[in-house]
Amino acid sequence: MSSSLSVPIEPLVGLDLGEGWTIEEALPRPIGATGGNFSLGYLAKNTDGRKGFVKVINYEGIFRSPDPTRFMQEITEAYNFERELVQKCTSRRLSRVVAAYHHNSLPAPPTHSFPVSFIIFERADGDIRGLLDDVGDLELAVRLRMVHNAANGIAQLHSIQVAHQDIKPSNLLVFNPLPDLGRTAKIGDLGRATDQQRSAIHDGYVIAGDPSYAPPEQCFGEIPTSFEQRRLACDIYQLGSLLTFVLSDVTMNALLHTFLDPTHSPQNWRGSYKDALPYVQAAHATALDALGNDLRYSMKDDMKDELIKLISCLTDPDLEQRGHHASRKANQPYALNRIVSQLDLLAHMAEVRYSGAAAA
Amino acid sequence: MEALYAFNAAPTLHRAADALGLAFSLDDPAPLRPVVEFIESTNTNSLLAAAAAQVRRHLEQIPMTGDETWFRVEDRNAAVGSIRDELRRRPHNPTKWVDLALAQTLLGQPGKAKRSLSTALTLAPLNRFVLRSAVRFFMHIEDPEAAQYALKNAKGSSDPWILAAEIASDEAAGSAPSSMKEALLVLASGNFSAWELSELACTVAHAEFNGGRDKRARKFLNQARPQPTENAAAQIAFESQRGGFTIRPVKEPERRFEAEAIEARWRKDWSAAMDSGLKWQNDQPFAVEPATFLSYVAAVGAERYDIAEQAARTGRLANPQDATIANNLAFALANQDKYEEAAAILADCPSPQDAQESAVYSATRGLVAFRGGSVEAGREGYRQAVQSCLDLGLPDKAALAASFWAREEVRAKTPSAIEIVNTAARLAGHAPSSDAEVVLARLSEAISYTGEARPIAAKREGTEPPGRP
Repeated sequence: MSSSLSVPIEPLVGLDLGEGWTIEEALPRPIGATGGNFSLGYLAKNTDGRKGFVKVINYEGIFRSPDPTRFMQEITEAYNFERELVQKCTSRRLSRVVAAYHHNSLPAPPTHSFPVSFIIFERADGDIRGLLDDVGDLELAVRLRMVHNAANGIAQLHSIQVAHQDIKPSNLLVFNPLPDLGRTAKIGDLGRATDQQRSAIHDGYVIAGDPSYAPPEQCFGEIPTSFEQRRLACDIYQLGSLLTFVLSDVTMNALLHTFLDPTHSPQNWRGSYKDALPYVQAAHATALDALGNDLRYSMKDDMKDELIKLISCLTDPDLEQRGHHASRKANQPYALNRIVSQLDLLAHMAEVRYSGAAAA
Repeated sequence: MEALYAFNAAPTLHRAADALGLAFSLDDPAPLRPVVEFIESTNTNSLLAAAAAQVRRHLEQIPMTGDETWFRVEDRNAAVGSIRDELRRRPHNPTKWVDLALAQTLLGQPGKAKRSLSTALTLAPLNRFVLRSAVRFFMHIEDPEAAQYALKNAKGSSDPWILAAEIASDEAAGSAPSSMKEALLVLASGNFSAWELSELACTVAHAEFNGGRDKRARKFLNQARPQPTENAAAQIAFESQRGGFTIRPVKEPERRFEAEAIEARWRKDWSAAMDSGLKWQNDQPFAVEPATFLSYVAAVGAERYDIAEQAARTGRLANPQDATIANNLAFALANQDKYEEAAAILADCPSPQDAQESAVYSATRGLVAFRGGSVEAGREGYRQAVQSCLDLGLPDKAALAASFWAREEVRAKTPSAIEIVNTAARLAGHAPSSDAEVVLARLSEAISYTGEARPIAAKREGTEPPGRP
């Protein structure tokens, strides 16, 4: 988990990756903690003008690690899994999931000691955090449209039996193709996703994605047995947390931390999640009240109430209560279609009420 | 950790906000210090500021303090309204039902509180917090059988907190503790920290003391010493006082108001007892014990009748039928010469439940009569009180009643004042640990100061005594 791995990034700049792609620039920081420690990031350009983000396996980092064989197996498995998954997503034309343009493994170039295994993804202009930082007072309509795009992406993944499990602000990538078309967003980084039809090395982890964004049941060590409760419900919680962040700058986990007594926190709790649940529910209820209080200045009450209701059902600490109530009644508790529609409607309402310019 | 890397690489507000979510999963929040400092240095929204402030509390290890607003009836009513609103939106939250029961208890609505707790118990019949709250409530309304019933689903639990509640409710119901064997196993198991075991150890110690097995009892009390909870610390202080020995916690809990109050009262440090008593009542505004404790030490020990009145009024709100609180309120009022209200409270008081309570009532009636100008009626009240206490074998209570009687005779400048003072002093001599000594010392000081019987209240109010050079 170190950002100080001594990695010779520069030798790959200028490398021809095939199919018209050339590495242009090395990214200065680790791609991410969730599988990204042994990956390196580059920017690439195609001869047809497309720009790409290149994820390269950091073989040197693996060989310098304390347990190279284990890491080699884990990283190559994860790489192969992600490669096949993005291929599957691209072939199914999932419009709200970041597409992969090309992947391959090249023999070690003359300036480099290791082979180059890479995946080239479409390149975003940034993530939602950057957008929120750049546009101090980002319109509500744009914020909601971004989350609607994210919900759409997650629904598309669920439709092919894939759960993302690592939905967070840095994985909501913002694209700004043409000024007239406005901004659009896609879900990126399938490195910790789970495919119901294929096993991955991280499938056995209690928390597959970034622990900071894990739903409370996972933080308390609960491992639900069904794919739906363990994987899909996790995505739904993280979507709710993302919506909370985009609206208020605070994730739901930060709010739970704020309102949960320390004796009931995941670090201090010794009992089961079932026993902790009433405390988490109470903290969640207080968090929603505080959130409602915070949002009342930026929107009308009817919209605020709708959003709080939506966040409440998305982030409900009780797995049996999570998801849209109508979907639960229809015996599909974690179906996202109603949530996507509701976000679409709310984004439209915000566009009509508060905005002249709309996001795509 | 990616959010933290991103923040460290290029700090921005939203990267900081993103990284703050790590607090929920990090064992040690230290890496979040720069994040918190960054958020604190920016003009951000109140929600993010609150989240950062919470992480700051963890970083600095600042204890949590609750905003106590339970002391006014309107606040309590507002609390009930607000909790009901929340429950309308989220009715399946058992902790909110417990909150509602507490607010209703504070308003003196035990029937409604019981219904709210029943709902909480239905929603979470095995939850530790709900169970212990229910047991505390049933003890409060003196229905230990209901506490036993609430715990029936948790039988066989190896949770030390629940076992402590089981044993305490069995003791209160007068039945043999049914979970003692499990409790002893848990205490010997080494599966729990000293803090987690402290309440169970104290509860077992209490049962052992009650059974006359003092040596075993002290062993368990010692087991609770290393890191007791607030309740356990109070229990250690109580048992030490009761048994006449000294056992002190190795590590004091942060909120040990009850224990501090008991210890201060034991060494007759009235100011400290009052201070801790106020915090204790603030912590448990529904409970009879802090209300009676504070109203007693404030009135008898510190002569702060205004504080005694407030403490009794606060306690009476949640416990309108408690005879001791009503008596202490009347006592505090009479001492401020509000004898009409005091008389009205005594007239509405529930009937005394035993001879001791009856004796206390007689004494307070005597005080109210004296202050109302009926010396004979006052004298009769005190006479009855002193005689009853002596008949009941309560020399300390007899001495205290006699000393207050003497104070009133002196204050009224009656011819029999000196005789009653002498009687009170004699009775106090037979009860050396009685608080009568405190009252008599003040009386003696007042008499020697003026050379004659004079109103005690005048000294308290700081007026110049007549004849002073």
